[in-house]
Amino acid sequence: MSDMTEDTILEGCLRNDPAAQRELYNRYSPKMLAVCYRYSHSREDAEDMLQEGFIRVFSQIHSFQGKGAFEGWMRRVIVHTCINILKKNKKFNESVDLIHAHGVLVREEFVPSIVQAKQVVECIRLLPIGYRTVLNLYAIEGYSHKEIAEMLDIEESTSRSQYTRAKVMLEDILLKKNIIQKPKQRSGWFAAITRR
Amino acid sequence: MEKNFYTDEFEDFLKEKADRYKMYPTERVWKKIYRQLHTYRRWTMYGVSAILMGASFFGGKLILNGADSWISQSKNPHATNLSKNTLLAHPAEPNELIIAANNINLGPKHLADNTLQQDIDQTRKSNRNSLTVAWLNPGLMNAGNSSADQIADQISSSNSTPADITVDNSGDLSLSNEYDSDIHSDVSLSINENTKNVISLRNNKINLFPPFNVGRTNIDYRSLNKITNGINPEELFDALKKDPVQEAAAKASNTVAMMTPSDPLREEITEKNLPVLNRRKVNVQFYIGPTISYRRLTDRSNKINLNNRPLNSLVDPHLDVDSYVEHKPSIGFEAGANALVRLNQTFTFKTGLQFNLSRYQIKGFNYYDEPSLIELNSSTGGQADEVIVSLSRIRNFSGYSERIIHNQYMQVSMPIGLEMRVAGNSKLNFNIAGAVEPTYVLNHDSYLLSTDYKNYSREPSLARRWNVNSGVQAYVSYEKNGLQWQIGPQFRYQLLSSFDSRYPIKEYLVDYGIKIGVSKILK
Repeated sequence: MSDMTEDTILEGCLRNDPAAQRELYNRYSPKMLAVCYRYSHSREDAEDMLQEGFIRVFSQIHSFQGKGAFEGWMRRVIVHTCINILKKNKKFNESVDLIHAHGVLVREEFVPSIVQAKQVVECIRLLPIGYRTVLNLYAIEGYSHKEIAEMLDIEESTSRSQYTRAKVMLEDILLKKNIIQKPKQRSGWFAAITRR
Repeated sequence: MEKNFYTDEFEDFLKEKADRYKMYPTERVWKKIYRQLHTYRRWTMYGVSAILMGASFFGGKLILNGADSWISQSKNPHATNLSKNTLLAHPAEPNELIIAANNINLGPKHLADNTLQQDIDQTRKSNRNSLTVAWLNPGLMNAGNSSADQIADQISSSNSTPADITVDNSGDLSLSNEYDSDIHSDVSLSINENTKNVISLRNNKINLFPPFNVGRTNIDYRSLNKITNGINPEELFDALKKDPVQEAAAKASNTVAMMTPSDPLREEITEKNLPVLNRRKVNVQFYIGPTISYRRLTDRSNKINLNNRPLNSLVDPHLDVDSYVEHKPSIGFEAGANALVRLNQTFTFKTGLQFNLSRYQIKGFNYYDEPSLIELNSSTGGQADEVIVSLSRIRNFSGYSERIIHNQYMQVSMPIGLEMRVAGNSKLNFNIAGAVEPTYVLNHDSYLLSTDYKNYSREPSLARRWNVNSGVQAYVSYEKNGLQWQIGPQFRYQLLSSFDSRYPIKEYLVDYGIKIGVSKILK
């Protein structure tokens, strides 16, 4: 990574300078590819999403006005790109509209155990695409159910129910993988307050 | 391993782990991004290279074919190109024939018998002032040697008949200096006073012939008559009056191919040439002109769903989208090259390559980040089945400050059309022209209006790469120094929308401007 500051890089990108664009890409593409990977079916699909996303980032960079972190802005652009690509897939549209999705059979060998971050990401990717997308948008990207409903052209209630089911399913996967442990049962008034 | 994990912390846990994860893309991804981002750079490079190569090719062709002819044409606009490739260096030999040629289309019948005498008689009967006839006496050609035969073959095979002789009422013949624009002639005749070499210039060829006493004017037809009866050519040429030319011509020795552009003999030939009106079939034309670009925007009678949340109260759904958008024309330009093929006196076919830069301005407003929604037409014609969501900071209405955005398109097209000569003469003409132009968009920088008319955002995936334009123009052309200059207004209209058919708002680019062009005869 070079010594260029983020401001210098952004100025260069505004001038359509290839060197600055490359620097920005080098700096953020690993994180953004991981984002795309969570929404995609495969690594190849994720790279296609990343490519499309970065083209959008560079072509819309003039609309970043310096309010907030650039990374956050870029991440939103990339996520929107992933969603647009997913929406072009008919299977995705069917999946995200289904309130009652089928369960997922989790087998031990599906989950690699290299590092924990990767394990978690791979567990997320085991979810059906509709569940996974809502979970990614809500739990990781921080969008509200209203925003998700608008982005995915679904009802807000659908988004909520999808998320609830996704969460249950993912917890189950993580437990089976022993990545998380079951919380100890609490009872009485404390449990009632703290239970969601 | 996470211990003591509580479901309340589930989102934080996921976010932390997911954010920590990184993957490294292959180099292929960056290469694809770079290629897409710098299409303009690449195509500009290709375009400039193509123009330079084209200019080099045509320039080289013109130079190689006739560096000399540029000079001669600058002095005599009617002279034809002299090509070094076609120069005929002919050794001087005694008793060869003078050949002065033109391309009067009288056909080979004049190459024999007593046709000339008949023409002369007819001229006298009809009491016309002059008659231009083609003349060659085969007897003469055969009188001397084989070289003359070769020349005769050459002339007859080039669809030209030699000699350009005028007969006046008094019965005198002369090598004509009169110029008749209806006759396409390209002949000249000159003589070297010292060596008596006769030099003729015909159809881009210079012929050098051996000594005779030859003059340019007032040839006595009775002498000529004798020739037609097969009398020794020396008698004919003795009867001709001398018309001295520059002594420097002698230095041309036996071959005019060695003449330099400044050679006085060349100038003599050029200046005393019979004027030539060139009506060659293939011309090359270069043109450039400023244009004013604009667009027509329509949603085709409200076919789109005006389900625009913030604007429902503002818009009248019966109005077209054009009513809700404020846009202004901008200046662009076009440049190109055409090959013109003359079909007849009235019509000319043209085709070539053209580069256009079209652009216009849109008034918008800065605003905070908000989603821009583009609802795409359903392929079945029903409700929108796909919505593209992107972030936008530009609003069509009410924002916190005004902002002008520019949409621009760089296109290359291939005009295929016809030009029609409406009025004029050999120099000045009025023409109209029309063409259809298959077009490829090299690059574009354009904002799309969201289908709720609320925001502007970029969506390159909806741009149409291939399109068709139509163009009409009227122009005045003026011919000078072998070049035809033209100027006139033109109008260009894009027949298909700039965007994919799924985007419900249609945009048709319009360009109007002044086109300035120059045409050069190629061959």
